[in-house]
Amino acid sequence: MPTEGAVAARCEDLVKTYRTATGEVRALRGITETFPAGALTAVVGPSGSGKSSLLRLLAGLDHPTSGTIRVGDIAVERASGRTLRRFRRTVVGYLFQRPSDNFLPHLTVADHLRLAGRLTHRPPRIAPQELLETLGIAHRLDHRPSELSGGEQQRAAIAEVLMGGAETIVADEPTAELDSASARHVLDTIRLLVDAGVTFVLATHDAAVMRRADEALELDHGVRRSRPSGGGPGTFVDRVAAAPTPADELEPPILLADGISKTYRRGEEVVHALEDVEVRLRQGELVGLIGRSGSGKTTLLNVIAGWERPDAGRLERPGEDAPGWTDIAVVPQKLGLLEELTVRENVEHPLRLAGVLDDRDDRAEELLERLGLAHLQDRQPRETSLGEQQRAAVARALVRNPRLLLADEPTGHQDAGFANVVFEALRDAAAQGTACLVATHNEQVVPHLDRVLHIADGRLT
Amino acid sequence: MREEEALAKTRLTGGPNPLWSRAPLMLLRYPGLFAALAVGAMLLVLAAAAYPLFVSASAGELLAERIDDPLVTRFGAGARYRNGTMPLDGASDPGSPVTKIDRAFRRLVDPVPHVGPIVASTLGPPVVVSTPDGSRSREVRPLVGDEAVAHVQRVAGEGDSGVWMPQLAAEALGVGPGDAIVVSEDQRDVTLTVDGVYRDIFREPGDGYWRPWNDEIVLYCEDCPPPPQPLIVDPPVFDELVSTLRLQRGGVAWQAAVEPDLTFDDAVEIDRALDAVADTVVDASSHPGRLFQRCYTGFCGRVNGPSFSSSMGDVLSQAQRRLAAVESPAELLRVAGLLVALVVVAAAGAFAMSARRVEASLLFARGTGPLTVGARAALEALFPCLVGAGLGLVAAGALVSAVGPDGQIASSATQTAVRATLLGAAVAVLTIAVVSAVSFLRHSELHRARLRFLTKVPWELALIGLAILVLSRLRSEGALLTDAASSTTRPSSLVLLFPVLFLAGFATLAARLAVTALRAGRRRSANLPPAPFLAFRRLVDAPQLTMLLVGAVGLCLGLFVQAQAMADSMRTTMDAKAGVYVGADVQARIDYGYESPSSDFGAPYTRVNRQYQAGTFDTGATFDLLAVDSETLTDVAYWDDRFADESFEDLVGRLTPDDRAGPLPVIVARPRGGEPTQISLASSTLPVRVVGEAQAFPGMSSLRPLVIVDAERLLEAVGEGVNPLDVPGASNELWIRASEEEAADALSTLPYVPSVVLTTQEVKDIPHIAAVIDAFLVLNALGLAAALLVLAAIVMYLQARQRSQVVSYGLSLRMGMDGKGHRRAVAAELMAMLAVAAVVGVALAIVAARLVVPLLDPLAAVPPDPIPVVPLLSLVVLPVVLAFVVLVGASLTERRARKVDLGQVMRLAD
Repeated sequence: MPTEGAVAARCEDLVKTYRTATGEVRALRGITETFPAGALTAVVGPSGSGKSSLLRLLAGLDHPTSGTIRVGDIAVERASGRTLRRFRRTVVGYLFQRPSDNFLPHLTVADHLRLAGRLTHRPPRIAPQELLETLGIAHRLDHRPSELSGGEQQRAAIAEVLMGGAETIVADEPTAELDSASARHVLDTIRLLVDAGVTFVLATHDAAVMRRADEALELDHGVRRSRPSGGGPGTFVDRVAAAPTPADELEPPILLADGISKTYRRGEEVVHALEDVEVRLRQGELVGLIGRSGSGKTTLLNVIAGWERPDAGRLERPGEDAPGWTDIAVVPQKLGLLEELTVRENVEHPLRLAGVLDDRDDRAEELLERLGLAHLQDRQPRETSLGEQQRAAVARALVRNPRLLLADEPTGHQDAGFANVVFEALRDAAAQGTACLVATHNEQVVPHLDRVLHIADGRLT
Repeated sequence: MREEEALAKTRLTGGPNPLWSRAPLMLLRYPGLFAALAVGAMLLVLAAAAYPLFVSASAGELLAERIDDPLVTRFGAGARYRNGTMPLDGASDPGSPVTKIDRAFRRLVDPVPHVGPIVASTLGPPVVVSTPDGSRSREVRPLVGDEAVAHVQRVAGEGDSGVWMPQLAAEALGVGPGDAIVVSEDQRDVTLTVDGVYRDIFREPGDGYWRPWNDEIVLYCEDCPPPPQPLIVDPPVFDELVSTLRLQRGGVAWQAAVEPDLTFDDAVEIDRALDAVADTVVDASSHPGRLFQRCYTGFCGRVNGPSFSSSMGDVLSQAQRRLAAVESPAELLRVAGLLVALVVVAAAGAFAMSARRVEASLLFARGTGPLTVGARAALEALFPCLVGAGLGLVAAGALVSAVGPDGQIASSATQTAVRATLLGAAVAVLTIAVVSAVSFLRHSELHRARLRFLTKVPWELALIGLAILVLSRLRSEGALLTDAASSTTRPSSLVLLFPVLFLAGFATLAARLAVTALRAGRRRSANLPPAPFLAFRRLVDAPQLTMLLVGAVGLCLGLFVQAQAMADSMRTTMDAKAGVYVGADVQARIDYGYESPSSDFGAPYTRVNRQYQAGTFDTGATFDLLAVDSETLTDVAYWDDRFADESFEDLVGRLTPDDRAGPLPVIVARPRGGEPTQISLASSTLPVRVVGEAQAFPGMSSLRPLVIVDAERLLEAVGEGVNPLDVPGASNELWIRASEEEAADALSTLPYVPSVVLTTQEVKDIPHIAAVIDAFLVLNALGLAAALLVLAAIVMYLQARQRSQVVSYGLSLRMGMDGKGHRRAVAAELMAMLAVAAVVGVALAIVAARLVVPLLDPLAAVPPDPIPVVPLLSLVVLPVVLAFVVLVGASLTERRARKVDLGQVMRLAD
């Protein structure tokens, strides 16, 4: 519960403008907001709305262009470099989106906690033993970050900043790269800590986070919007049950994967990534492949794309052994945009390489418009948000109207609105005959799908 | 529960700070970073430690060259006392002057370091040696000396002792080992048995051992009979000869050779100690001085009087003069090497920070300051830098011993090198700390903006300004500086500094302009085919990096070409000047009356007559004269086609037209004023017709005009007048086309001895010019090494970029690009960078060389003017090498791209 009347941070008329190679980007345009102490505040909004910029300012990682921002006793806009360093050590802890980014890879969890204490010379707000038990990582003290799961890493990172004596934790989409179970566990932990008086400010697209937040701040194009409605229609199970029925079984499949198995080694460990998997996709189908992280989704997409050879099984796919972009187009989780090209040039890249740029330029134009990228087309990927880059990757995949589209978490960095936009684009592609297989753990997308395949431990369930 | 809490508290709060405790061995986990830092430190130490080793080895080599000179030798550089007036009878008695001097000399010289052992020799007066039947006889001089037999060339006989006859006397007497000889003086004689025969030493002693007796046993005048040569005997035999033949006075010499393989420091030590010995020996007020300076006969002259000498002082000063010429450019090269190495270290540090960007971001977010990050980086870098520094010291030693001078390296130089190693390691660590701290600042937006601003400032304009300043100073003060006090000439350091500043400034400016032009053409490049389109975009996307790489490659290639051009120009100029001065490979001066060698002379030659200020033109200007044999001149004389607009043969051929009537045909080299129609020469005035002109001509040794005539036609023209070729001041010369050895062999067959023999090699032996050439050759190698380093860095950068673009590469393959297309795109990108850099670098290098070459005239009084040379071979090879780099770079990048397991990369995202 929020501490009565206490304020952890407050910003007034906050403006943040970045100068980039292609011009100025106005990330925040006069935000005024109060963040209560001992509360969980969710900062939401479409990708590119300024969430990350606000969080970086709250964490003392950047200076605002204008306006004021006060966190605790510190006026961030006026603070010297030295003061800001002390501020980052003792007042605010910042959690990176990717869990592994919160650690020095060669130190154990215990080392990190010890280091956090050494950096601040302040007693932690919560006793170490209590903290470890609350976060459920007491048994992982001697492990290196790479030996922890994503959820454990994120909880260990929270422990680290709290050991440093931080009273406020700022986190940029802390659950974006976690499966729903792990995300739930992290959120439970955060709730416990909020109840113990810790202030959390989280940027998120995750409806589950929004539902459990005490306060919410919605941003759009750098401007504050009214409080979002939060939540979503029904439960995950309800939506799965409401998913459309499979397409006509008699229609010949465009993709046939039968009895696919795949094993690989990860160090000493043998991972059975896929076991006897059978998938059939027909022209125009939009199918979801849903499972937790590590369940085998990406491996299955890799096998279908031809990037991994299955140990066993039969595979019939467009383009057979040498599929081109018109046969199978891919939206990988690592987007693979070329940094040296603009957003538009990235989208046009398949057309240019195939020598049909002049013929199909209107298709690129149409997709840029459709996916909300038209105003960003001359920017380079690094000058756009992760969500915008993800949409550019979707546009690039659709630009040649492929027969099969494989998309790995294509809405992982989208807010609900743009997630809909992405799926509408996929739905249109399906209507034009493209078969789409979308790997995701985002339950909100289920209504967009023709049918859902569940995968767990390498098996379809 | 309390126990667990206490335990947790202890584990989480106690113990050493992991940020520091894990740092020293941290980089072992990153072999690539470890290697990069170690290589950086190695280069730094290599540049720092090689200098003292190189200078010491140079000094040792110069010293050895001086000591090995037959006019010096190890004995000459050591200590020598000789007294030609010593009483020989009873010389071995304890109270004799010889014994007293022996004791005193040993007392003084024994403590001198690196000198010894002391050897003594006694040369008696001339005596007659004859066959037992008295039919044949010769004069010899009995000699007893420590190790004397070891210092002659044996002709017959074995062993190190006994009676050794000089060859001349042995052949005259017809005796050899085992034969009896009779040594007699004033009706008294002693019969001895010959143990061996040695080659006479009157022509060339060949060994410094004989220096004390040079005045008495070496032949100095051409027409004199050989002086009596030593009859080497053992001490008892010598005593018998002294007593039986009643030999009264003789010369006694004590000498101590310096040890072989001296270092320069050793030589300084010896010189200082021998100076002290000399002070004692010549001090007539002291007891030892009186002993050494005593004359035991009524008259003491230069040849027979007491003398103490050592050539070590001269040896040292000559070596020092040459060393001064070497040190100056070597010092600048060290600075250049250090700068290059520091850039590599800094780049390695920046690379290390960049490779661990995530860690840096985390530390920034956790409130760590740049000082902490710098200190941690220093602690991490300590081990690899120490390893690299150790390797650098070993490499410096190996480099100097493999390709450097052959001289001994002084222990003080080794100590300096070790100190430089430790200092180099410390500097490398400090540089990495500073670079890490500055790189870390990039995480702060405020500092990032400042750093971005700094990269936009056109710093190269300052370099260009400095280059102009340096050039104007070179022009006003000269490129060769002479120290009046030490009379040493050394090249100005600015000669090497200028091209570095000039090339760095203009290459960076050109790179900046090229990048600006590329950015301006971005929009228009949209219609290019995929490979050049991608290449263009990559170049434009990272303008700072493109500018850095183009500038760095341009600078390195420019330095390589400029240094090559300078070295080639200096060599060509020196060859030309030496060739012009000497006339051919070897010049031998002879008397006018001597016959020219016969046709079986062992080398091609021509005969010329050269006169300085031989006469005047009708314009009033004086000229030098060269009368040549037109038939043989062109086969022998030095010629460079740049000397005239026509071939040597055509030019010289005009001196002897078939029509002998009319004015004397002449060629005028370096003409001044109008064309002369007559010349006044040795009281004759001759009408002349100028049949050709040249800027330089073999035989020129001044900047005056040189008139070249055919000797025979000149004599015809003079007729009954005074022979202009046989006047005082005329130099009759044989010009020989052959190596020094071949020419010497050929000349030894002549019935006369040339008064002077001069070779082009001797003329070219100018220390400060050799130093300039060497310095530019080292700069050439340095430029090449730096260029290779930058090219390797570019290829590594492409590989690293490829690693980060593995997903987009995999996708591009699906989109229609193939390996060939990818290779073409990388090749186009590389080629564009290297082509711009090469064109800029080469053009600037040639301009820089043209600006400096005229300032470096090694022999200003001898034509031609400095000749700028464009290193065509390098310019031909360069594009081939760059094309190879493009090919290899593109292929390696494509290979790396192909080798990546895309499935595994994608899976890691799961």
